[in-house]
Amino acid sequence: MFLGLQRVGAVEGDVALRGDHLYHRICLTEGPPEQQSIGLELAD
Amino acid sequence: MRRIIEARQGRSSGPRDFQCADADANECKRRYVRQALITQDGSGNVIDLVARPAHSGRRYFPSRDAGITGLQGIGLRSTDLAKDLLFWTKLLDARISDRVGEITYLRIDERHHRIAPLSFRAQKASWRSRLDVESFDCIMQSNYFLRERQLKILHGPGRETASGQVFIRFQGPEDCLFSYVHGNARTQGPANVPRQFSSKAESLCAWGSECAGRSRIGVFPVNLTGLG
Repeated sequence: MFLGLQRVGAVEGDVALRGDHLYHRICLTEGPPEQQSIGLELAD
Repeated sequence: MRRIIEARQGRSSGPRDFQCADADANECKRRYVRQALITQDGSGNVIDLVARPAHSGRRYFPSRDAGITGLQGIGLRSTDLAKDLLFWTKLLDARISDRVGEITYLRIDERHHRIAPLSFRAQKASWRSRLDVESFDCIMQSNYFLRERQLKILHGPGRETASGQVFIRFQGPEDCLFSYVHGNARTQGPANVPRQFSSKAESLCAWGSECAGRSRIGVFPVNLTGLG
């Protein structure tokens, strides 16, 4: 909460956080570091 | 995305030794996107190339008035910088903006940089996120907010020498590192020649702020805590 992001609903126990117009920007999940990923939006 | 698919199928001249797979319906659902291609950079970081991410019908309502306007960029853990740069520049068309020591600032739009592969100490998180805030005031307000709550500030407030953006970098839960940043410079076009800054503290912060833990780092004092 100290970050200033807004928590929104997520699937399967994940914690989704948003900081702009998108539904979420950061999603926290339980699991090993190998499951981490980052997303890039493509134009097409 | 097309270039990666063609590289996977051997139909292009691009690098071919990067894994990639189409995300299934459940993986797309968890990412709130319509389509995704899951790939890995040279260090094994999982990179999702997504299309049509879900927008919210409601405006962003922050949990505190930090002034966040969006995600500005990320720092990615790199164990093979040369291969990572091949991935980002040859497959995804990123361009090198500047370098500080071995830290490489990569841009994918008009901003000075959005992505920075860098080596940092073993942590649970393989990324560091930078959150854009509205103003320099927001940086300083968060500086005092974080200090009052005894959260670990790792670097700043300061101003990045290469990009000109003001920042404060701090440690969040689960070893995740976050930054608030403001004022990332816009590039002057594709003709920019990347500058090489030396591995010195002033190459990371024009104001001379200290990186926490810099004395433990050894030979490459600014390589491990410089960005994020």
